[in-house]
Amino acid sequence: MATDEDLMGGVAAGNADALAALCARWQEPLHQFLYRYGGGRDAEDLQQETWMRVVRSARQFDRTRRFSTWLFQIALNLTRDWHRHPPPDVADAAAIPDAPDARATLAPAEAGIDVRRLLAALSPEHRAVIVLRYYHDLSEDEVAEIVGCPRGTVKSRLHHAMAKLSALAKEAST
Amino acid sequence: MTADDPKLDTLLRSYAVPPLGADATARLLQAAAPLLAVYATQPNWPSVARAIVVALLALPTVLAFDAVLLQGVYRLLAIVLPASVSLALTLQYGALLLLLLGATFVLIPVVAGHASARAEELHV
Repeated sequence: MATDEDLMGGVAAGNADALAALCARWQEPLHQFLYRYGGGRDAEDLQQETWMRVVRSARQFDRTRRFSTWLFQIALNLTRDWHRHPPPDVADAAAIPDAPDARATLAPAEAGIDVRRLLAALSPEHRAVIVLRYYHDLSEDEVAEIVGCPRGTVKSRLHHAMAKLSALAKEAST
Repeated sequence: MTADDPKLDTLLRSYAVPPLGADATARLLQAAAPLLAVYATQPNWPSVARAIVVALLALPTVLAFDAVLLQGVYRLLAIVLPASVSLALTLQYGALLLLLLGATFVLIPVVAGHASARAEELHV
């Protein structure tokens, strides 16, 4: 089976099947990242634009790099540019689109808490490391490469973000 | 990764994302089609440039080998032929080698461009 990096070579050669194969592998993880990082805003448009940037940059792609890291880096930078204004305010419920409600499985104390609002309350830097590390299970080194900071900074951001989420969750459940 | 706080962990895990539209891939392929068509017809210049750089790096070695070869040819011919005839034949052979070398370098961009495109098609 072709690796992601080989498939990128195919895209650089104009092969639509290679692009379709990459999409089949990475479209869903990318969608989940864009949705959670952006609070659901413009996730489909961002998805489309991220892939278009992948195609436009296909010939500059360094095949010694991991495709997934490069893809998330493009998505993160694009989302930052896209959302010039800050993410929805914790109290701004109307700005956040509806998502499938999984809260029915939670304990009554947590059932009233909207995770999107908790994540939206984090700074973009903290939200990025939480989404990449927690939801996509990327290593600290990969997260560091994607967000463009040292590994130690990722660990620190992760610690502070988790602490803030925990405090916000407690505050919301009381 | 999991959160240290089990309640927070459960809460974060509850964040479900709605599925992506079914036509997302089709829309992307449609939008990317013009660019992919350009890629399919134009050589991949970065890979062509890499091939040329590698070939140029090998050039001094190739020229040194040719020089040694020509000296050897001249010495062998000079044993059985007059020096002027040996020199003429050696120069002719040298000219042929230079011609072949030049042709090889001219073909590198063409071959590299087509070869990379072909190889990538076979990868999928």
